[in-house]
Amino acid sequence: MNKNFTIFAFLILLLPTCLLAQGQINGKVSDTDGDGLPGATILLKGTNKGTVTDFDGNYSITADGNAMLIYSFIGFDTQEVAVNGRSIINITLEDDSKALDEVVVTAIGIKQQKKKLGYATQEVSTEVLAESSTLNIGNALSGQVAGLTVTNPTGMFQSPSFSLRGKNPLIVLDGVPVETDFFDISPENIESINVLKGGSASVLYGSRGKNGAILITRKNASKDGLTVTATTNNMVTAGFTVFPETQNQYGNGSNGQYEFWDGADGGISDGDMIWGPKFEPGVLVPQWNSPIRDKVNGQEIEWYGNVAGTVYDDKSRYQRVPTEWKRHDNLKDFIRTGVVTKNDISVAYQGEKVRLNFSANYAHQEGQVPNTSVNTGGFNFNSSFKISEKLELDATLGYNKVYSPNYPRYGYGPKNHMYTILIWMGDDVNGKDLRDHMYIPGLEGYRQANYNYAWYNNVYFAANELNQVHNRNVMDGKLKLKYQISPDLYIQGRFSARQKSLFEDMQSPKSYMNYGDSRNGDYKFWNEDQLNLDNDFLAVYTKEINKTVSISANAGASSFYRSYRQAYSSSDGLIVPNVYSLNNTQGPVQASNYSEDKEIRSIYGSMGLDLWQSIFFNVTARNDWSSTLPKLTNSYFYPSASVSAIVSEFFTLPKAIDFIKVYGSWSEVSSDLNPYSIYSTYNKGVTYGSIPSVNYSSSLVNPEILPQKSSTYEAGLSTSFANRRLSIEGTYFRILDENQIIDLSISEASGYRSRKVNGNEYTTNGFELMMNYAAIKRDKFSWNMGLNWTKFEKNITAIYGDDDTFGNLKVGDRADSYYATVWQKSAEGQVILDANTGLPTRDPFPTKIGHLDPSWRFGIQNQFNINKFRIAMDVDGAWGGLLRSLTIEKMWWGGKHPNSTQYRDEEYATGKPVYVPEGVVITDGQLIRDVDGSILSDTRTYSPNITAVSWQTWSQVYPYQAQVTEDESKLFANVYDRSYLKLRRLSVTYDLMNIMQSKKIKKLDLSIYGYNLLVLKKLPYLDPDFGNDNDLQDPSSRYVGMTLKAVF
Amino acid sequence: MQIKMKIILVIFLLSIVFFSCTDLEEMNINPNLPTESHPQLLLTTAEWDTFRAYGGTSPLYAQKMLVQTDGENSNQYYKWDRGSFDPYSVLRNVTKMMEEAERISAPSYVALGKFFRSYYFYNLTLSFGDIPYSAALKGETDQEYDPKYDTQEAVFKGILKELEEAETILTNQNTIIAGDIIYNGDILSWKKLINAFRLKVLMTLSAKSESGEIDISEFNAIYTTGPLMESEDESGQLIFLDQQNNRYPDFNSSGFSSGMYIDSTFIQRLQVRKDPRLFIYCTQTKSAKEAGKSISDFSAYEGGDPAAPYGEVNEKATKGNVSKVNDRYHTDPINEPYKIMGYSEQQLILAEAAVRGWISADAKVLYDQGVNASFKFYEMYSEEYSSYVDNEAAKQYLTEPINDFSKATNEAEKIELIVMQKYLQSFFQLQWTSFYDHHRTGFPSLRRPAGVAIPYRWIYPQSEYNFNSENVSAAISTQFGAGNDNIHEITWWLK
Repeated sequence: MNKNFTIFAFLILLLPTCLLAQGQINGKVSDTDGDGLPGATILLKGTNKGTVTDFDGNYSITADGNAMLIYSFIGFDTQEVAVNGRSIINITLEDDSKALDEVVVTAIGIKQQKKKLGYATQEVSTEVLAESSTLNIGNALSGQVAGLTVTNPTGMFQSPSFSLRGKNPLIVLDGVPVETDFFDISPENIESINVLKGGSASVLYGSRGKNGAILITRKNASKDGLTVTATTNNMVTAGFTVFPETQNQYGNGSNGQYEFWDGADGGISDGDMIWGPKFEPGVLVPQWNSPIRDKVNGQEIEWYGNVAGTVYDDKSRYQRVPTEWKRHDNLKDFIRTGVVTKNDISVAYQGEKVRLNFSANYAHQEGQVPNTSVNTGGFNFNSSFKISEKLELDATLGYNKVYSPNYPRYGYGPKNHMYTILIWMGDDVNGKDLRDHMYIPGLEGYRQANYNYAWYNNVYFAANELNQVHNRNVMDGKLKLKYQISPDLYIQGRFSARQKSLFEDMQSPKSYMNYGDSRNGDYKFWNEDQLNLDNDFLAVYTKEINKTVSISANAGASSFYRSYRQAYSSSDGLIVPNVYSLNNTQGPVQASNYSEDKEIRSIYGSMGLDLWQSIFFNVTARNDWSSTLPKLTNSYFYPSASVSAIVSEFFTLPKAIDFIKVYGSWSEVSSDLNPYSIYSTYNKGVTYGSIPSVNYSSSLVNPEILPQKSSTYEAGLSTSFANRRLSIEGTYFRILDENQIIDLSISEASGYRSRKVNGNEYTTNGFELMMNYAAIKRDKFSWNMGLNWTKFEKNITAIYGDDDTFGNLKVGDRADSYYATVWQKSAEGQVILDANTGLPTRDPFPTKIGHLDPSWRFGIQNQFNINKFRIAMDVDGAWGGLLRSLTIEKMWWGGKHPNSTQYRDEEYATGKPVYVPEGVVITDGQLIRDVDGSILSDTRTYSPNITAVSWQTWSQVYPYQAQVTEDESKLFANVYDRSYLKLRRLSVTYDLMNIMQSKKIKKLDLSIYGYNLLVLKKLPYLDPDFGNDNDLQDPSSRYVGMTLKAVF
Repeated sequence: MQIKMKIILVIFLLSIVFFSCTDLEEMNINPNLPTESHPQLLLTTAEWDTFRAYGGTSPLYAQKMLVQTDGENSNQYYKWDRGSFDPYSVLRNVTKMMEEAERISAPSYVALGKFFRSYYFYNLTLSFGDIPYSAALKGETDQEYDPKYDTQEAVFKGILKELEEAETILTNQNTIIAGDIIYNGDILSWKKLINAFRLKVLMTLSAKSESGEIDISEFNAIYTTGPLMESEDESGQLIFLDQQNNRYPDFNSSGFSSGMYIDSTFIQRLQVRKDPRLFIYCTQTKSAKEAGKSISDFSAYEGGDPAAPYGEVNEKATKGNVSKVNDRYHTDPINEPYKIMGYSEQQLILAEAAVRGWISADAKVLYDQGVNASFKFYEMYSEEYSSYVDNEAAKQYLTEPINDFSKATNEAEKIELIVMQKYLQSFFQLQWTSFYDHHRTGFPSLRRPAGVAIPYRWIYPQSEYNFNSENVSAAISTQFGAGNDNIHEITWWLK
């Protein structure tokens, strides 16, 4: 056997040589992107003899040394090539029509001509994205793809989130599904991005691909010989697209008064709120940074922060000397210029039998928040070897690292700098003093100096003294072996592994305030390890039976295994400051760990039938076995069918119309559960002293749970006019989500809050439009415009157990209906106020005030070529939908809202309430409602309100404690329309080789660009592109930068 | 030969797909968490949850002990709406504890389970009226997802029965109860607490004793046969530890530093009684501190008017004239234990029973014991202030005419004295006890803005409206008339 193999291998190696002697010509037909073209025809000129390329564009043909070969492929320019005695001829065909015949990568890595697809896919032009780079490639996808929504958090190291037709898509990297936030993928190293939108498109990925997929292909060599590409990219923040606005006339305090003593209401209202005295010349107030005066000897001592535990904590002897009460522009002073530097180099080599690409990248970002940065970098190796005529090996290996010594903390709480500066710090606080005096004199390392000791941290202390490390290493490797059994049939096997390890910690200094947490300093860390193994096998058969009929079939099997391990340890207080180690803990160390394993095994196959090269049928089937479901139901099946027809082949169309393609598809996908969710378990509870405890989960499991099911129906039309001058594609889709695995809420009196059931039905109807228009096409000036537009609506169409309501939702409601807590209103819609206090009362029944998702979204990509300049301009936006603004609510409460200044002076001057809110008071009668909120009787009578309310009180109640829409009150609204229009990107690129001479450099592109440039919006103070406003957002920065790309 | 190669390749490729031979079902068994447990682990949870959850500051606002100055507090102004069914979540663990106890035949845990059930159902029914009781907590065992409601009367009778059963079960037990963080597993102590709680439940139903709907003779039976708590050491209380997650619930709580002040009526009540517990509960006002007044100077304390608009109180606080909660509540990691029922409360309940003639005992002795015990509690747990509340101080306190039980001439006055003493010891203790005492006896009075009525109950939770609408509608209709689920409706125990 062994001997046989050696001989066989030897023969294999000899094979090409032998074949050459017989006049065999081999090669590959590719498109301009270097992708092989499957099904391209190679004809021996003057004969009927010919062949077609395989799935990767490879071919072989026997011909004389002086013959002529004709290479043709629908949608590409035909080429005639003389053999000239060569044995290997690689050909690149120029496409003459992008719209119809481009080849795209579809599910499980199968390349398909776009015309054959019965579902919508959309490619993203990576060229423009590379020119005006973002640190995270995810952000760059904003507005690029119809149906793909990207939310763009404004803070550093906050990753974008994606929603594809309202669902969370799978990310596939080089054919392998991955879990990534994109920080560990270098944008420069990306060859193509293709978005598979519906279930039919991604059905072959099984449950993981049920929501569509974003396929990312990394670069490999695409040009003969050696190509070296070096790119450097540098950008800085240049001002802000959106910068929050606050009132800047009044400082900390309450009722117009303030005096600092201990920062916890031990002075005059020095514990909280920005309802204090007005900034006016001559006003002197004892402040946190005021010197201390010894009343006995008149000595003044410079001091910062409170005096607790010092000799000065004696009001009978010491006092704070009142100092000037003036305004500081703290947020602007705090935020520094952000800088991003990225450098990439790649070496690519393409020879007859090998394609290699090695790339290295390093990026560094300095955040806008002081003391924050992120470094990313890695090496990626991509190769393809032709071991023999029939055996091909692809190997990739990547190592990527993401490291941040400290990055900003977000969320609504004292760790977030915006929480402090924007909402809870009056402009009276001298930020520069906070920066220069982070500790109380003599208590360095032990107690921060601050203007407040009840709720907030000194922002500079919090930014500089608390550090959190994020250290991630991602290794991925893939080996693919492909064996061409016959020209019609090949098999391939793939083995891939992705290992992610992550270390994170949190180093909290002594006196750091995080509410319930220890004030004695703290050290916590987390270690995470995740291994994904994806292996698959695929056999592909294609056969052109005759000119009118060709068939294809493929069959495969795969396995997916994921293991995840996490360990966590934490100290309980620190003994010595600044030593972040468990050895330095005051109390017992706490630790926990978690491990999880999951496996899915699958088989799948598909059949394709092409008729007259214009009608394409395709059916696929896949079956998964998941480890997370009960044994009886752990096998589930996904079928899909699609048809695409170039109808223009059958009719004579007006000359202006190039072609018309119609397509339709249907698919059904299922999905499983998270691991370990079918058995109920006890969770670890508190350990009292050394006595442990457990508690029982509040959700009931269901050992008979079935996989959930979602069916997608899609129909589309694509056409183009006037020689591809204008191409349009429209897709209608309908998704039916049935049998959803839901945690159905139940009466808490049952002892449980929810139980897992299969139920509910959601119907999503949507429409996507993609358009490409070459508006101007002249020699020295051209303008090409791409447009995409999406509208969809998801409704709940049936509820478990034929109920009428699911939570607040009623049958037929949009799934994103916004049921809010609102103020009680009269039958006529006026706010009802309490006759005694003049204040409103919350309605105990949640009220639907609209829907949360935008009504539609769109994106426009413009490309201008002016002379040798290439200008790209991208715009995108959304229309409609409601957004509740936590920031605005809290600004009202705390007294930072720009409109909160209105009645302050008047009220402080008169010393009594002056503001009479508009509304009615109930004079008699009552309202009786059913449990569902429907009115049983309403006998209320009203009179207009005449009670004046303290302005501060009103501001702390009405726009804060319930939702107020713009319709209800323009002035006090805290729920706004989400609509916006954003100038996302503007870049100008010029190839410097036009003005330079060099034999060595082939290309030297210089791009100057701006990102996140302008926004038109309805929401004040904030950037709606951020997504929901529940966690406070950093000011939305404008980036400008420059990219220099050299190709050698 | 070539065929062989093909076969080798195919086998190789297929094998990489199915390299793993793990059993899928086995893989889905959670390696991190157990599916069974000893009841002791659940007992610790139930005790921790129960004794640590003192109800937050809500009862303190409603019982006129705190005022809020940075927003309108719905408890302070009696503007609350819906209540919560959260206690059923604690009872889930109690239910599991009882199940696990039956699995391994450990009846003590069943007995304690019955106590916790009674404790929570007692609080739930007082909060709402009719509640799910007999059909409750059967979500897992009986697939009962929307339990029907029982009348308040049935709930009370059930509670009394379960408590009696608990007592009986424990009588026959003699092993130490593992996992018990309250009494270290001492069965006798538990019997005492259970009996004391039975007295509390019966006393709550004082309005029903005359109508005969409840047989009040049980009270005397418990009193005479016992056992009952004999000293403050035997109180049902949890001692906090200075260790991560074991600290006093309000340790490091920022809420104490701004916007939260002491109610003027509470301070006045302590002042007129020359009650030194004032120094333990409150801080001196800022002005008093600056004037150099001593801690034991009653005039160093002042509160905010709970009936005034909160902005006005805020202004008074701004001037430095309102006391705050004593720092120890948020700066001492251990502070004081939390009592769900103490010896002091037990003695005061007995005193009231003596006044009502339910038992034959000297009400004054019981009253004095109750007061002494409360002083003793603070002497033990607020070390810094212990000298203000020692034996001598208690004696002195009881001689003040306003506190002297023997000076009370009629039943109403006696009951007022007793209930007031319960009230005065319920600062961050005993949850809503005084609020219900107010409804039951009229004492203590609770100050509020003119025209505002004190609610009797809470509206049923939105989750019941959403997920158990049929049963909750029925309960509303039978108690208050359709749709009339409002906070001013009176429920059975007060009718």
